[in-house]
Amino acid sequence: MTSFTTRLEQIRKITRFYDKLQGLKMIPVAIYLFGIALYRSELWHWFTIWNPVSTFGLLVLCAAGYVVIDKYYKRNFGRVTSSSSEHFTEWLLPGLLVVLLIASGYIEFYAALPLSLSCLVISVLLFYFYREDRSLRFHYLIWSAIIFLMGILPLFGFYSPSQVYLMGPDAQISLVVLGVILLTAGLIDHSKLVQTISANTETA
Amino acid sequence: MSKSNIFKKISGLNRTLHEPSRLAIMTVLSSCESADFLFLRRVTALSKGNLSSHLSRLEKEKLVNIQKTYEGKKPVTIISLTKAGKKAIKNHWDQLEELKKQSSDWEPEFEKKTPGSDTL
Repeated sequence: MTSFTTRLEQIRKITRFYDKLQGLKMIPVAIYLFGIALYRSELWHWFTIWNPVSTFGLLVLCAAGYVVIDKYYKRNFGRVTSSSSEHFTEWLLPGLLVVLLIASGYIEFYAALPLSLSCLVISVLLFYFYREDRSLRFHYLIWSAIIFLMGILPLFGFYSPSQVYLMGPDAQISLVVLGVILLTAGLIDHSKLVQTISANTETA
Repeated sequence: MSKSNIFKKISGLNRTLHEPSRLAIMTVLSSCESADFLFLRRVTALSKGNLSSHLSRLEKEKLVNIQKTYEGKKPVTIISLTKAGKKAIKNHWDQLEELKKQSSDWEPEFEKKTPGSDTL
């Protein structure tokens, strides 16, 4: 009985967080962030001289990749429409945070703040993800702490604040770290989705 | 709570919902607005035939809505809970929680009257 109720609890969580556990969708987002970091660091001359065509082209490729991955999930795992209470956290809250993120990016850059305000906003967002389900999304606590540290470290003289400004011209560090975090978090989420579904198949 | 009351409550549980596969289907559907046939099959690990027959039973009891649509040429079956289904699954889980609580307080009589227990 206990294992059956545990299994039910697991599938309830998987259903509730199904959209958020489609972690492979983070791959094109991370690739785009790496591309922007590459452009800003001017490590790839061709990519830099062809900007904004190269950046826009990368954006189109990443968007196409996102659509392909979305189809992969629909074809292999099916589709779920979240309950209306989840719509708020799915669309409205991230939308508000994106606005806040852009605003904080401009504020930190133009006000030349000694720390990264945008990193702190991202850290809050990741902490919120952790709070949604502490067991399933525990790893977001670690990512939140890393981004928070990255945002405040310029206060202690570890590196220049402009390197971690989101909109800053030499902000490669924040983009690469954020890309790596999104990629790792996405892979962990995807593996949790696959593991739970395969475990159900084995116990059936 | 007496033993007879607990058993009366157990026998009063909704049998359609209490069957493990149907309980799993209803629990999944109660966590979302709707889900398609493939998702239900993946999370419940039921075969196509089994899932279909359980869904037909639930539809017959007016606990779920089944909509058949097409995405291009591919048929897609979307399943959602009806109002009665939402109420029924909530009541069922409440009843199970209550029973779990009551049964943990309940001490069976044979444990109270073990022969020779007072001599030990």
